[in-house]
Amino acid sequence: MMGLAQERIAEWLARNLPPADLSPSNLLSAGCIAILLSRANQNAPASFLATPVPEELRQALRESLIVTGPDLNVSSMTPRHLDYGPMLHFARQTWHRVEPKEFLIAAAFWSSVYIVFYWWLSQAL
Amino acid sequence: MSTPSLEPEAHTSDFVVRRSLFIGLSSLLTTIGFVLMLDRYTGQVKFWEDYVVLAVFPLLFSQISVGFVLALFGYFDQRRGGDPFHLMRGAWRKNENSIPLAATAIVMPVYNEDVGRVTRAVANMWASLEKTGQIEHFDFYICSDSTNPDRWVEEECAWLSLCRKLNAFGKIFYRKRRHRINGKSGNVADFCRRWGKRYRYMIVLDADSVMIGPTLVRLVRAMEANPDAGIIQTQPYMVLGTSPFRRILQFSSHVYGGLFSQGCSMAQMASGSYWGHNAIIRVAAFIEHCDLPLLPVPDPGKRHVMSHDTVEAALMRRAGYGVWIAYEEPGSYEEGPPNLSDMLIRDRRWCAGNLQHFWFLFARGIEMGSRLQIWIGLMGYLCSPLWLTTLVAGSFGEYFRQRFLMLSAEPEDFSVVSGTTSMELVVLTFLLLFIPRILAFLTKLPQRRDFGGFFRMLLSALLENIFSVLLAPVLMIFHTLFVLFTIFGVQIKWNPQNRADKGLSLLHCLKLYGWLAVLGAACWPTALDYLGVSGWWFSPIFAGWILAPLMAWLTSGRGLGLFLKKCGLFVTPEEVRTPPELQGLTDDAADSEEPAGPPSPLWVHALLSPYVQAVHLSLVRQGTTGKDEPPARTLTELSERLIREGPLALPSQDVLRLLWSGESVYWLHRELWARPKELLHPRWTDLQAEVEKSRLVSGYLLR
Repeated sequence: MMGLAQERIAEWLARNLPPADLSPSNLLSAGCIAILLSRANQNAPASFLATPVPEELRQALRESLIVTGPDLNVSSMTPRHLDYGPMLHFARQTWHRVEPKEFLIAAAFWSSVYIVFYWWLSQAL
Repeated sequence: MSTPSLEPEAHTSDFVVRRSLFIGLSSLLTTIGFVLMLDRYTGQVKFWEDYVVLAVFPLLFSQISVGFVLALFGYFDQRRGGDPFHLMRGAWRKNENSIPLAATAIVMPVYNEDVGRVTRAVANMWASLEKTGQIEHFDFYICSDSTNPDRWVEEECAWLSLCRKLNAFGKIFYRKRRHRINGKSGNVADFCRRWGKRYRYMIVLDADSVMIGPTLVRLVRAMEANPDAGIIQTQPYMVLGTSPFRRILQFSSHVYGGLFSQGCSMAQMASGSYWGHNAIIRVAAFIEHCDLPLLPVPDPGKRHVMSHDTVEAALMRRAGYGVWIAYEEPGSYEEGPPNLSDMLIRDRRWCAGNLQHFWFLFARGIEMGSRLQIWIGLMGYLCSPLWLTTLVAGSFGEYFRQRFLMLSAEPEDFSVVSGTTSMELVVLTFLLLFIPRILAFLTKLPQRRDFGGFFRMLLSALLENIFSVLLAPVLMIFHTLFVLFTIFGVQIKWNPQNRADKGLSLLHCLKLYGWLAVLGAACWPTALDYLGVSGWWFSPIFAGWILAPLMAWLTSGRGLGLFLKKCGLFVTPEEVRTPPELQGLTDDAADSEEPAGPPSPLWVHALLSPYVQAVHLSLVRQGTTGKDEPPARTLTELSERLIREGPLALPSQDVLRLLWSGESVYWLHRELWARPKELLHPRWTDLQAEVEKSRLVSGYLLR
């Protein structure tokens, strides 16, 4: 039943909207919006699916076909080369992903060195 | 397109004097501060903590010096009546109305924003431009990256309603980006790639931005008259705040913001700041030179530049175009964060973005002025851990020194100690911090009526200063955490800002800031106990920490904000005389217009309402006229699940996948209305009965 209703609406819209190579679903979408914008659902509800359609309503429907966006005018936008300078050179030379385990072992080692050093200093002085 | 050169212009000598004054004065003040700090330690026993303080101090003090010098420049520029070499004061102003306009796009990237607020702002700007008689040169683009399906569908309906109301089809466009690459900068770049060639200029706005028509027109004329200008940034003032937090911020931005921008403009001239919104950009130059490079880091997920504005300005400048701050142009507005938590969410994002700029500090070809901007931006966040380091190291150094004096000092050590004082340094620091504020206050005094009158303006300024003093140590802690999070790779997610003054709960404030209050309560008596009299200097810091939960809570709610407004405190010129472009933007004004709909997900109406579906399909299928194909199998399975299990069955990502498929939307619409009710989840039946009453249909489409 729903399919039949949509077919009928699509046929009615195809008769009253400008010719366009639109699929049924696109035709229904365009038609719905045209009905909305022309306020046909409020001003002339009896004319919906009627034949013939009043010329005023037909005109309003055609004028209400909207273009949702301007045509694309494509540009290429790509980053230009940027030399990051000496910092990148240093970073690349030393770049190494430090694992948490490596970091903890290093931190534990040097902490113990400083603790021993501090103890020795406090004993010696 | 020929690029302008960075070769000296007529006013180069003036620029050299300004730049050398700026760097020279800042360095001089920093040196004076450092010498005073050194003097404090002369003759005293030093501990390693003191060396840490001495190493960090110049970096910290330089920021105070820079701020002071900028304010001084701004004050001087105000007193002399403005910069004669500024782009907005050129000879073109004498005949500006004869300068023809060029095609300009007003681009508004949105991401899960309050749809009503966005469309009302567009409508107000449209009306303002219409009054100038120049509307035909401007197109609006609402570029959506919204990931919330409700917002997406609502944006579409709101766009149609807006175009119908303003008769603006073919002038106001809506684009929903399918793949949200690189956040806002990617959104703007996508616009440039698709439609940039149609326009000579674009004016980039934030979702909460508003600009008045005359300023928009003047910016286009300024760009036409100055082919070397790449970006002109206006001074956006915060408006429409109702929470105390926001009102304090907007008062502060009105009183102090202009002076610093003017100083920055005077010091930097064509190497000014760009803040990513409320600015006009030369599109061709932007497309050719300002696509963001990837960062040279090993983790591919972290190569995107988050804070794009400073880098884009640096790249524009590298290409030889000027970046100017039009600090005098009126009618440029934005909204600030409504509470402390939202500000911290924003700051976390900005911190991560600003720290990335480190890579550009040493990049070849970046102009000196851009490097200064990058450095100032970096230090804006790095100052916090440096300040904290100074406080901690200084406290320990002072403690060990006092212990030494009590336990180990010889009589001659006391004579050295009694001769030293750090009062000169303290006085200098206070002067450098507060003189800019006093100067800014004095420059705004002639407009005191717009701030509630002299006494209310003075009281507001005093309260704002107290609030800033208490807030600063809270920000210090959080910014330090943000810096550490960034360095150790804790992920940042761009959360949409909450621009509504809804208020924070006391429980939320206690959860987020309670630990800071406990820290302050523990540190204060400890400092007094161990440091003696010196401990009192830390009082503002500990007071800020202890009061953080209460401050965050009290300043977030509307009630206190409206009370302060009634008392005439933190009043701004836009509250005294609200310009038409700001009228009707807040929720209070809009609530009376939009009928309240039943609480249900909004996106379902793209499947149920023929009108909402029509709008959605026309936008999703833009430009396609092909045959109706059945949905892909995976989408059919999702659709079947939706029908069986109800609208809440699918996660947001799957809903978005379905909504992107015109075939699935069309198919679901048919099935939901064609199938017997027994085969549908009961919620669909309820929603079918509510279609006509929904906010989208009755609020936008049928109105």
